[in-house]
Amino acid sequence: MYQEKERPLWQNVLLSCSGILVFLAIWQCVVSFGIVSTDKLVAPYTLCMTFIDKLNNVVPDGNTILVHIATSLKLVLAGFALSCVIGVPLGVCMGFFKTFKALFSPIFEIVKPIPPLAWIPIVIVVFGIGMKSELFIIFVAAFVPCVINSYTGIQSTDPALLNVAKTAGASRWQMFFKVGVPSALPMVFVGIKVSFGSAWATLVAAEMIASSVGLGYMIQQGRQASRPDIVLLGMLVIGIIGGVLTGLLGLLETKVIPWERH
Amino acid sequence: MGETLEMTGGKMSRKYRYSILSVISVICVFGLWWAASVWNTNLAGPIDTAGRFIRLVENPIMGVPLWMHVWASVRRILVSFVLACIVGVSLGVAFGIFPTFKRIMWPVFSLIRPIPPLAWIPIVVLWVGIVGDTSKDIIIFIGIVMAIVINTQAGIRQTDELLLKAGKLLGANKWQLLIDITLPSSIPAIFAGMKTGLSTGWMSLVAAEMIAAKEGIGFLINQSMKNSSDTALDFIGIILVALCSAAFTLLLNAIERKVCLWSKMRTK
Repeated sequence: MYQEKERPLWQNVLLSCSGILVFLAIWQCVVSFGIVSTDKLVAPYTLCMTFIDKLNNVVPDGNTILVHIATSLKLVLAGFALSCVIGVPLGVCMGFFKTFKALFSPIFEIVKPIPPLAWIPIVIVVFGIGMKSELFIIFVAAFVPCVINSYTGIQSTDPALLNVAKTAGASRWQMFFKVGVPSALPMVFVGIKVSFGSAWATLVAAEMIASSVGLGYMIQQGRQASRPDIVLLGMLVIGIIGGVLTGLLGLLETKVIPWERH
Repeated sequence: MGETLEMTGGKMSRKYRYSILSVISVICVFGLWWAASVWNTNLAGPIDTAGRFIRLVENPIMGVPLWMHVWASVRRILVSFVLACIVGVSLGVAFGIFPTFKRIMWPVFSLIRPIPPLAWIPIVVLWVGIVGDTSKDIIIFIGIVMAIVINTQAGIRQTDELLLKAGKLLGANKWQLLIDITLPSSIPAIFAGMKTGLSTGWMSLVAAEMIAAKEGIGFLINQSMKNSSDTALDFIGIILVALCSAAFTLLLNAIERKVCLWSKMRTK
């Protein structure tokens, strides 16, 4: 009913491109014809120029854009990796072993609804302003979806499969590693993707509030210097990097769990 | 017989043991919090936080009582949430039922979607100014709307073909198919999107209020950073946000149960 009509590939590509092109054209026109003043919005063309300029220019935020990108990436990957390494095993164990669940789920339920940024004042007191604080906040942001999805994933393991394993004489550990964990993997990956998005969003905010380098800091400085081109450039770069890395995670997913149809 | 009895007895005591474990772990959290506050004297402990709460109620910051801050935040969430539901569901339905529209507009949507709501703050402030509620409402709206759009269009595309064919066979027109089959069957997915959106919304709210606001829970949290690290105030803010967002989730769950009785079955 709601399936797309069969079209040759070139028509599909053309349609997809036309959307983006029309969007860019309207954007360019709105600025060029002065409908929106350049203090508030800059044209896509100007944005390209700003990007090229920002490769070498350190005004107004003290670093070139490549330094900002590298700093943000390093932080987000470190915090994200840490939360996967701790969060996925915790979630999977909570879903499979009742003792684990009884011990950790109350703690988790307390921590879960706290917005990651609300930790900032506390971590600043504990760790001071700097890498450690930001790492902690990203970790907390990415940790929650990792745990929730791994937990749901292993809980929805087909009981028939577990019973087959039991009948075939598998031990509790074998059931956990050979049946439970593999069947939870698709959900684990959903969690990992969500938690990356959440880590990336939180990093930007953390950099806006308490940092002196990074993409979030760059757009915050851009706002203070009334440079909409810097702000928009930062937003676009943040969006593109976030999109590309999420795509890469999807690619990894197809490699790790080839049995799941995508 | 003896065996079954033993088993139920074992289960009972096991259940008992699990609840004891849970109680212990909650006590441990508070114990750790207290220990951390003793170890680092700048950090407020549970008792300091309770004391600070009483003082906050007696002497509000800048004369704005506590409930006004909570109401300011709740009001922002409500306004943005209602707007995001209207826009998000309409856009999601359009993406779902018009594949050609999706083919053209999805790339634009995919370009905008990965930009975190908080990264919009500087540009929104440039556009509508820092004063007033508009800037915060827009940020929260962006935070909520994305999840609703994605879930709505996914829900519509997952409509059971068989049901649609049956409807067609019985002579339903396109409009009836949409209203009577497609939309009801995507309600669970839409609600899931609303819940995801709401948690992003609360997160965006705190950030937006921390960066630019004169009242609200995020403002309290930001004040705690300014006033020589008044961490007790931050803990109060954290607890308030957690309670509010939990209340909203419970409310949504209750509405979902009323609106679609079958969703419980499907999620299980």
